[in-house]
Amino acid sequence: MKPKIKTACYAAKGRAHEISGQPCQDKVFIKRIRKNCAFAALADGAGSEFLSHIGAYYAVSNLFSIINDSINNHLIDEINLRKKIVTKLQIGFDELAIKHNALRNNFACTLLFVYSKLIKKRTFYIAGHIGDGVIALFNAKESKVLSPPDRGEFSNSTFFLTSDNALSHFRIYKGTLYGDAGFMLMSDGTAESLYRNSDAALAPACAKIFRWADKFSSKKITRLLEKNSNYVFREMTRDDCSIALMRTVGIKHV
Amino acid sequence: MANDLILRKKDLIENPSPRVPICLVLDCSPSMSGEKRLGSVIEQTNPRPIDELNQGVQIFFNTVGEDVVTRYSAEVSVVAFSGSSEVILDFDSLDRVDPPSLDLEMGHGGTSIGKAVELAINLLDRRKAEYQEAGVDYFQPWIVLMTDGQPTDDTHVEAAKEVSNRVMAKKLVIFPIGIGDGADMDVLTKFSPKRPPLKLKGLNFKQFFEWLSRSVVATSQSTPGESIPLDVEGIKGWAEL
Repeated sequence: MKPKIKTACYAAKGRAHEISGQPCQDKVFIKRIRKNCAFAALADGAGSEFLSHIGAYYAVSNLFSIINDSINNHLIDEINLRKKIVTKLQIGFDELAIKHNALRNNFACTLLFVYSKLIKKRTFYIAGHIGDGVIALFNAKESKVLSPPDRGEFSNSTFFLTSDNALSHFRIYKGTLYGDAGFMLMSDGTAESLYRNSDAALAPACAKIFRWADKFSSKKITRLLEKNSNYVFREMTRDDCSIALMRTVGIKHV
Repeated sequence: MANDLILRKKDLIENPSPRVPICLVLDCSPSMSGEKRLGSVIEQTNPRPIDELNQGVQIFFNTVGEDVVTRYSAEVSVVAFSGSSEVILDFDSLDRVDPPSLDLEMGHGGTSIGKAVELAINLLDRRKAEYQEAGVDYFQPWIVLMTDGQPTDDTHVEAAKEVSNRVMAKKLVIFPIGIGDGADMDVLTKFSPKRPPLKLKGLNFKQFFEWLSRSVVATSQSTPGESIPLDVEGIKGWAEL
């Protein structure tokens, strides 16, 4: 089998929003760029901001076009990349605010993303994260948390793209992996089931989900994520639950 | 779809519920007996404020304990005070404790609000440290301060500053409640820079604690970025506005 990247994502409305009638505030986005590149983004709108679902959608659907030029350059300047992402998205939120007669903060959301590119037997990646939720990384040697949640002291506090201090809380990661490799983005709702807060450990389920790509197509994995989001993750929390997966397959293990 | 593709509980993590630590700081000075001496005449309020307070606390424990989420997230401690303060109940989850019974502090007299609040802050800080060590998430801690009198020492000055600073830094939520005409609302104001203290309507302890338990339930079910508005309509049921 020729090496390729499989992708899947799903966002499920949580029980709290089903009761209140509010829209799902989690948004996910996946883009495959040629056979050897993929991009995934996930955003979680702030609970009490009435337009945060629009903010989350704006962030995930515009992020790739913001970073595309920067990440194609092999010398990625992390500081400028972070600045570019936060500045451009905040400008976008300000434009949305005018359109909706609202304030920038009304679109508050967290953001997680990963871009990965397969070259020969290596996966180059760049990832970014502000707020809660988790980015996990998998390859033949290890599965680990690449980016943990960034919360304030309290359970119901985190950091958002709309905040004045967003830049200082926006984390960028980059690296190279050898052999089959993959990433999982999860919102804090999903992380209730898949991530242990006390020691930053991943649930055994994460490795299972990662291995689905050995056997199943992207379409099938999407259906599995849908089923498990709706019947498993949603039962462990009242929050919206979203998840995105990308994994290279077909590379002989190093 | 094959059953083994639906993830099982054993493959998942079970994180402990985020905690809401609440300290009830309650005036149990002799004036809470409802007894008033007017010369040689003794007037007795019936029911007694202390009895209504006890019933309210019981309702609070029972109501919060009945909610399936809050039962495991709310943790309550109780500090009783008059001239001195005492921890009647240390922090524990509601499914493990019974509501405490408050007695009048007949032997001590006085109303040392400051010492009681200091004790509450120490209890809350210790509890937060225990959460951090155990990797348990928690919401902003709450202090519910109820008094029917004026402070009889000036320990409340420093205590109010400390509480005020924490409230402004969003590290503490306080509900200062005055009971009856003798309560010093100006002193209570010093503890609460964001929200004016409220005076209980008569002896509406039950209504107040029912309202408080609903507020706890709303908080324990909140998600990041969600601000929890107070039930202002509900306040009208127990407070003089």
